Amino acid sequence: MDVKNLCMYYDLLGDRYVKAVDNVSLELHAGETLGIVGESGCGKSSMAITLLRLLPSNAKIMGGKVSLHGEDILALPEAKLRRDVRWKKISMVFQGAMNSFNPVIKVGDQLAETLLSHDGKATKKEAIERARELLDLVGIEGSKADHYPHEFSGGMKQRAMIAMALSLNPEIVIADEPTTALDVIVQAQVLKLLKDLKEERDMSLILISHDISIIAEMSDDVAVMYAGHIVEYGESKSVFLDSRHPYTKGLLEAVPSVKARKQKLESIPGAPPNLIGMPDACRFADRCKYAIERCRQGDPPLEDVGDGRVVACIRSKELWGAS
Amino acid sequence: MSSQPVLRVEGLVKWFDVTHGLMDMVLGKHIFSRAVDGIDFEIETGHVFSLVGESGCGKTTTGRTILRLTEPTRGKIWFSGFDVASLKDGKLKEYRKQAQMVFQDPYQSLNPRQTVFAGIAEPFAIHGLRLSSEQEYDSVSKALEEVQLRPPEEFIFRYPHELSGGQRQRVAIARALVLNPKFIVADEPVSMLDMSVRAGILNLLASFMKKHNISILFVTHDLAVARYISDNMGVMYLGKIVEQGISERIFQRPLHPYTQALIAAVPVPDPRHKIGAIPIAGEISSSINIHPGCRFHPRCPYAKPLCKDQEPPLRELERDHLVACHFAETIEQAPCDNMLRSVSGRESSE
Repeated sequence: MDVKNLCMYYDLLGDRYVKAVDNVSLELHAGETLGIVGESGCGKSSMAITLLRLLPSNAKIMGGKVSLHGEDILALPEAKLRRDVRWKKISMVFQGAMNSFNPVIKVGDQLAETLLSHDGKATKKEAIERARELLDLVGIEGSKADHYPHEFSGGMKQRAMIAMALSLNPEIVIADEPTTALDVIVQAQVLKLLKDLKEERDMSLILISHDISIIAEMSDDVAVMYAGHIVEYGESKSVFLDSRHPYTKGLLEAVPSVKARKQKLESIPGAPPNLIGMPDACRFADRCKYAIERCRQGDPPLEDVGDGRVVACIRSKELWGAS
Repeated sequence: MSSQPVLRVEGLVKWFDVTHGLMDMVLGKHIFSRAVDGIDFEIETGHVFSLVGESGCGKTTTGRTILRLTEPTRGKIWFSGFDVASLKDGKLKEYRKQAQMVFQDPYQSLNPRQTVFAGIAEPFAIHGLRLSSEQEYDSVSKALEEVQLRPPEEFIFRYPHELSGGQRQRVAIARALVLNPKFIVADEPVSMLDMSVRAGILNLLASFMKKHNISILFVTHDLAVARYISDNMGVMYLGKIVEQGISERIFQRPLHPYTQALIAAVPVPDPRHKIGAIPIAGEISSSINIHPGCRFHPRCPYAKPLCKDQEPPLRELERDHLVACHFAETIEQAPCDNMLRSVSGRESSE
């Protein structure tokens, strides 16, 4: 999958827009995990729903391309997208599994429904049989298919969501904060499951999270988002061990690690900006300790700093050199 | 080095009556959720004691019970020589002046129709401190100054919706500190905040604690945060403390299989560290039907028949390091070694 200059704005009436996704370009290679990390309101979830075109009515795609094997998904008619792409090629695990199931329908029936609506030929009986296999795949006994969502624990619901996302053997799974509501041990189990399934079935995974630690442990490539932009994008190892953008650096200095001795953490001053009426300047400049006058004169472009890594900071090379 | 405890909890129990169904009620059969089921700990003056554990382990209930926001079922809570559990009316109000709380969600804990000034000044009225309006204004702006909302004039007449999450939590902290308490319960004070501002709130709490010699009971599910902020800690599981001691020592050498699994499960911000197999399966069970024996045994990879029959007491295995496990001595090595190896492996690969 290849995303080029994607822009998605929320229309606020009267010529005002929230630039939730602004000029974002990404590449997802087969069998790879791409991590997208950023704080709340940085546009990471908006990006996920844009990729599948699951947009609310006030969201407008203002430009860009999302190509899957050379075909632009954004240009497909809705019916074709729904029939051929959504869930069959790209599926999604949503945030907050607790609320994603219909509470009055048995979990197995909900899984079967997905299968039936996308695969016209299957009979109900086959679909339910397949639902049991899917539950089994994610480590839930097939007999639990007859249970209602409230009989599942949080971790089980999230596993069942994953089963649903896998039901049509997609090539790409987008997981948006798949473990946010879960306890640490269950979180680790679910992440391990996602990782194992990804490898077994040779899928690609787009993992979206605010938790920099989860992204660091799970991803091959990482895109760091800030205020609708990608500010740093490259191989996970280089982004985390040798970051070149002040925001990535700041985040890493602000997050405690459970496996390191105490050392003083520094938070980034201020708060993420409001995305309405962004000035034509670096969006991080107001919080950046390296900001100079030039940072406020125009949006910094993504520049290659070597190793295929791109950074949106005009001072990056001067401060930290090329990698 | 060890100073006087500001607070000592002895055998604290909080059961919630969750009886439902007419028949049970008529027959007088009560069903209890044993949220906190007999815990002991003390918090030294000017120290942070963290209670960590998964959701439903009883850590929040403990914090609330200590402030008497819920009534304890049994047990004693000693604070400056008196038992908080039996305080009444006036005395209880006096206690609450000295023991404050910072809640998890600054979007809910502040009244949306109250300005910052009104919110922070409210405790003066509640506790009958008759201050002139200048004195009130001065105290509030001093409090804002202290939580680094500078200049105070800019924030003092704002409403909560005009503040970011981090700023709101700073206001909530200012409100807790304005009466100069000795002790604060902070219940997940950073879990709702963006990660770039969390460190600021944690550093703020730590600096207050030093400056005013305040003690903090810090309730969190986030072990990395607990390691950063606390001096001592207790790990809770289904209403009991399973491991307790100096936090740095627990993180370096956890003795209880649950603590070991918990620490191993937390991801770290380092791409060389990959998510591995988790030795324990399943999820925390309900606190309504707690099975006999060790509460952790159904999920424990080392469980033996004894663990099913007998609940292990919290015992001092090493100096100031308590653990509730029958086999802590024997199981101790294996998983820890693995964990340390993976950590040192990371360092040497650099």
